[in-house]
Amino acid sequence: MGRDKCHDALARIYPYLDGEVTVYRRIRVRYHLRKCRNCDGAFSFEEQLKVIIRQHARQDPPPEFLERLRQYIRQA
Amino acid sequence: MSRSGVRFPSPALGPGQAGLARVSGRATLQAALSLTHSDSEAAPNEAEGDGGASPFRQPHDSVRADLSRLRPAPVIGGLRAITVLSRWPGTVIWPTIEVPAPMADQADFENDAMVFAPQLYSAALRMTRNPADAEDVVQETYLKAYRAYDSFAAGTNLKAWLYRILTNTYINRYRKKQRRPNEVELGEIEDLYLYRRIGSAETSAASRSAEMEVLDAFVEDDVRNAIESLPDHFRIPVLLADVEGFSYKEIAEILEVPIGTVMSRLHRGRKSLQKALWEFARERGLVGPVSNGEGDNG
Repeated sequence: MGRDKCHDALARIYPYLDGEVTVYRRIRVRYHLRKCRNCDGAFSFEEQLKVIIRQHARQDPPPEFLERLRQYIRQA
Repeated sequence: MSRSGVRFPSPALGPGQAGLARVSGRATLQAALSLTHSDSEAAPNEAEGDGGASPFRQPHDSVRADLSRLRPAPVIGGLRAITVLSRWPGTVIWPTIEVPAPMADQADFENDAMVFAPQLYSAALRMTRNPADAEDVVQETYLKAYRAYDSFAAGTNLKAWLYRILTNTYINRYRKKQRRPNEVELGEIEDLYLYRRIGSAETSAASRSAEMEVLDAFVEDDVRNAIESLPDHFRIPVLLADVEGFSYKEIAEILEVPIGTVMSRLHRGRKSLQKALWEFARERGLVGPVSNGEGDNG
């Protein structure tokens, strides 16, 4: 019975998590997630994965590099 | 009542006269704009305009009185819209005149652009896969950006502009003949690949959700290597969306491709990323054997 709704929600999982759906869609998806444990699990997982990717992929440059870059621009 | 909530003292104006007000409005546009571009000058004049003591306002001249309704709208994407409110109750005329933002000043470049250097470096590192090349790419990006800064419209998206130069620099320098994975091969990766795989594997953790447990066990190198294993045309959109947090529209502008292309590359790029992560998880023994359908035939 909930198949279509699950399908609708899961089809929009990335646009939803990327904040690229309309407010109307967002409310519909959230409403569905409250009722459907399976979809909610999948959404939470993907959301958490996104957070982990963002945290782990970031890497700060060595401070000397920023200083060198600054000097480089000044000379340009 | 109109949104202004203020009645004009003069008799009713015909539509023609309202049009006149708009035309004269355009003449004073330059004045209104120059006031708001430099912050120091803008503040007192804007305050006056709101208080009704605008230099345009002359109570005995109804057309002029309309001009005192001229107010600068918020800056959107570097274009400034000027709106004139009509004087009739319940109606508002919104003639929107778009004026290009002024070009950026090269002297401000260091101040404006250096904040993004750490992020750009991080992205460059994921693209080139090694620190020396990343430094070169970022340096070249900044040089190009500095030289072109006069043509950058101030107030528009500087971060996206810099990323666009960065990706172009990277692609031009390091474009290799990469094997493009064919459609069939990628089509075989199912949606929610990682979630479904972990869900069907035997994991030791009974507490919390097993899937989340595995996610937390990933270390920086797993994620970095997984991203770096993707081919360029998937890796760059994934980096821009997931790591840098750009919107689809911004990514489309950075990569100069349609939004639909961004979405499909992002979707497939994420699936490939999940597959790579799954392989790392298995190599490191984060997940047990898959209970049904062992092997990567799907």
